[in-house]
Amino acid sequence: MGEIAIAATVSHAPGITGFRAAAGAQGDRYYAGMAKLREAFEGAKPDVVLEIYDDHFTNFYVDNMPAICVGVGASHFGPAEEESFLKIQRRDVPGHPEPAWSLVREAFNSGFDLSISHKLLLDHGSMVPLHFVTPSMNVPVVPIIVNDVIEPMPLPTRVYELGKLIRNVIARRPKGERVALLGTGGISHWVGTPEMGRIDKDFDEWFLETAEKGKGRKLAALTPEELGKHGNGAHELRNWIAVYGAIGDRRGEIATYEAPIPWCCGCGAIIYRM
Amino acid sequence: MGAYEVGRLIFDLRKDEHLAEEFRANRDGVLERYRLTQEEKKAIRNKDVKFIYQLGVNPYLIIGAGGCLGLSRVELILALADAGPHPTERTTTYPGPSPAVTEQLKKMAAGAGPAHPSQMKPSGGRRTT
Repeated sequence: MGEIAIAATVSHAPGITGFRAAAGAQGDRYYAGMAKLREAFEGAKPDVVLEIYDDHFTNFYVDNMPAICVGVGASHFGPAEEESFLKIQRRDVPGHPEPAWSLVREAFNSGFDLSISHKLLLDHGSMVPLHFVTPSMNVPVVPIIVNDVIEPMPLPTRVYELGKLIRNVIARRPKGERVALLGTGGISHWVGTPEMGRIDKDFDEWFLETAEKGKGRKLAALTPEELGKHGNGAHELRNWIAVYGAIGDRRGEIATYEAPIPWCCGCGAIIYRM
Repeated sequence: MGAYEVGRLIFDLRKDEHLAEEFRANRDGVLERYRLTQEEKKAIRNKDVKFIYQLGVNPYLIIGAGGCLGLSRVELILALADAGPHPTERTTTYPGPSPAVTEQLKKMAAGAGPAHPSQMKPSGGRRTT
């Protein structure tokens, strides 16, 4: 029986690594908080990271847009963005087909027909958080892409169910397999609209506190319109909700929250030590 | 024509470094290969990101169009100031730009804010997927 070694829900705004200096003292505090997450991650010694995030029109366009796509490949490549922009070195990122296929088989056996990809290009949504928790990219990653970028998007309740499926899959994995769960994106932000740079601090604090108390089921009940009140970028919180479906009412610890305008995003992270 | 085709061009330019290089050298030649109206081609040549947004191209592609349009990230956001709610992404609310944010972005523009590349080049010309 496998186990969830650690879980975390974290922001992935490209500004975090791409324009750190522009955020001044806010950026320094954010990095200090992320150092706590890195320490917890390393202490948990995971064998694999299941990372739930959204693809920003890197792999997929609307000629064929998967609702949920699992990266089953033996390796991926990332980041898609230029190094001069994201400040993260481009490289192959190891995948892990065995747990990836366990997830896919279990999904199809339970009426959850996911898409799959044998080769993914990982963008900032994946690489910014990985850069903090596993900067040398030595822990294999199973990317799980949820469409949070263009309508129609899966309902928050649906991705919460995905989280429960993930928990069941982990339970059936070989004894001792240690899985790290990452859900990335959010918190409040608008991307590519006139509102870009606007941040809803009250909502962000409410969301973080609710999640920290283990009340993820309440967050899963938010409608798409309720999420969208806090930016098109807030739709990414589905990726956090998926993690909450897997960890249930587990309580966490807010590692950091900052709202730097140059990053155009309310950025935060919660650690769940399992 | 329309949001699909303009969005497709932006998507392709970000994905394919060779196309992006060709676009830099021969923009009109590349534009001819897409099914764009004269008005759409003109908007691309004139860096008219507001037109492209109001056409319905998804905002994530809008922010990614800075490089091919020749706009920095901050210039692009400011150019959208009065573009209004997105015409097709309806589960999101659009309260309009925050004046405090606009002020800060203008300061950043004066100091040349960071650009946003339109293309995401695979390294060394090798295919990555």
